[in-house]
Amino acid sequence: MRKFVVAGAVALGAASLLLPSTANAAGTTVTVTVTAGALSISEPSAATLSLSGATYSGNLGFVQVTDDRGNLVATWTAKAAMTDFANGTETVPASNVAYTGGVASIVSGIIVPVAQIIPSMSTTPANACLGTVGVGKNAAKWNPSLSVAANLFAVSGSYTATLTHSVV
Amino acid sequence: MRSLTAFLMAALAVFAIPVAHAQPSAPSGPPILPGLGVRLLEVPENLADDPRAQIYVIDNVSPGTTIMRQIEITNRTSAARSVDIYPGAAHIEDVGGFAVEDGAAMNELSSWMSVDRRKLEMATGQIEPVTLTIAVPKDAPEGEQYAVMWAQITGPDPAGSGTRLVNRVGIRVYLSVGPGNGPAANFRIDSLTPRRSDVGASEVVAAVTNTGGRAVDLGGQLTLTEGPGGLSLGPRDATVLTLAPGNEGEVVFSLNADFPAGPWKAFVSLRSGLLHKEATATLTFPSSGVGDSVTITEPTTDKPWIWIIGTGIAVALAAILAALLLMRRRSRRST
Repeated sequence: MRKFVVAGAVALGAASLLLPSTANAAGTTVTVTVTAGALSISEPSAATLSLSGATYSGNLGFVQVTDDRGNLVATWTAKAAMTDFANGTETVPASNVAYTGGVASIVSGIIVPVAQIIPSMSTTPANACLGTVGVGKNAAKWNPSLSVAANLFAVSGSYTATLTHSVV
Repeated sequence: MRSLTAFLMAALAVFAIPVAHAQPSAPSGPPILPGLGVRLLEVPENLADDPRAQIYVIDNVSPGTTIMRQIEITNRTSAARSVDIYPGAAHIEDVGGFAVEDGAAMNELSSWMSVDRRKLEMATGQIEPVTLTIAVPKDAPEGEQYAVMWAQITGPDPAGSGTRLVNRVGIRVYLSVGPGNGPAANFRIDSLTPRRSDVGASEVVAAVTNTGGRAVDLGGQLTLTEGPGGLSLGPRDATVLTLAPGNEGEVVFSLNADFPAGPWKAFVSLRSGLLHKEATATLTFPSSGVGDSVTITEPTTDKPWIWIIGTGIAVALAAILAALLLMRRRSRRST
């Protein structure tokens, strides 16, 4: 009897070494459907810059973040990054551009959106608007503006830059 | 003790000052469509109760494992859109905060991530699921890494000089590589400090340290009781802080400008997912600047004498079992 038990234990031990670890399989292949909603960013428009005195400036149009995830502790971050202005031959570095978030407003739900000022833009995303102390589903929007000194655009022509808003 | 505190808080809540929030009002204007949306569709069964896992891709896997997650993309804009879907690098700043990198940047984790469709042509109102695959190589370094699964719409070119706008929204990925369940998450509340900001608003700052092996998204509530004249205030929510393992950061509770200095009994409750810690301190707000910090010592929940008694009982039980087995053997041999 004892020999059978020992042989069985050895066989089981050898088999468990060959089998893949079950801990991973259980944690990654068995999933449950999530009921939380989506995190959304509104569609982008195109923004032109108008000259006013010595500054080119313009509003980018409203950016709205809709957080339907329904978390008890709801939070989101919107960041902005920008490339240099280019007209094909000349560039004006994005570091000369200031981003003013303005006054963010609540669209729905409980959230305190805090729009930021980015004094110098770059390709590294910086905080543009923070969705803070939110509870449950919420939405907020802000209408940021850009400003850049006009005398930097020495050569005439159409200068275009790309500004990316990222929401996580 | 805790139920007594709760009773006191409930009783004092009657005397709470109604504090007016200076909330920004919603301006009138045509409603803006929600736009481009992303939604996590599935969570691993063993994380089903974790609120963080409902909105972020969070997992711990061994090197050489591949995991997949379904993500839903929705186009709730006014027109048909071409949506780009791609993984991007991210990291957590030393002082806290989830930082994302620009479109082209990659880190190890984002290089392991792929989607089954990188470009979707979506009609207005369309909903599409995409599958995110994270293939962790066998030689992957152990530890937690961060990335984002992005969905992106590019706006039209401006007429003349201007800015082309690109809007993107993503789902954070917090992936830990390591055997078994991975390192446990943990954090510690080190101190509570009252202060007045430059604009005169009162704040309570909880200095925290991430003492575990996983990033935490710390949020929570502050309740002030036993104030001047028996006043109480709260609960007030914290601004959420994302903190990487081993780092220290500040979780800030913002209060209102017109605020009696105190002293107040402050009760702070912080959470990240299913982790929960509490701290209590007596705080007095300064007229300006930073007030006196109160260091929080973590209560020792393990009392040595409980362990000694428990071990003693276990040893006694084992001895009784052994004795029973021996007696059974002897009685069998004798028959």
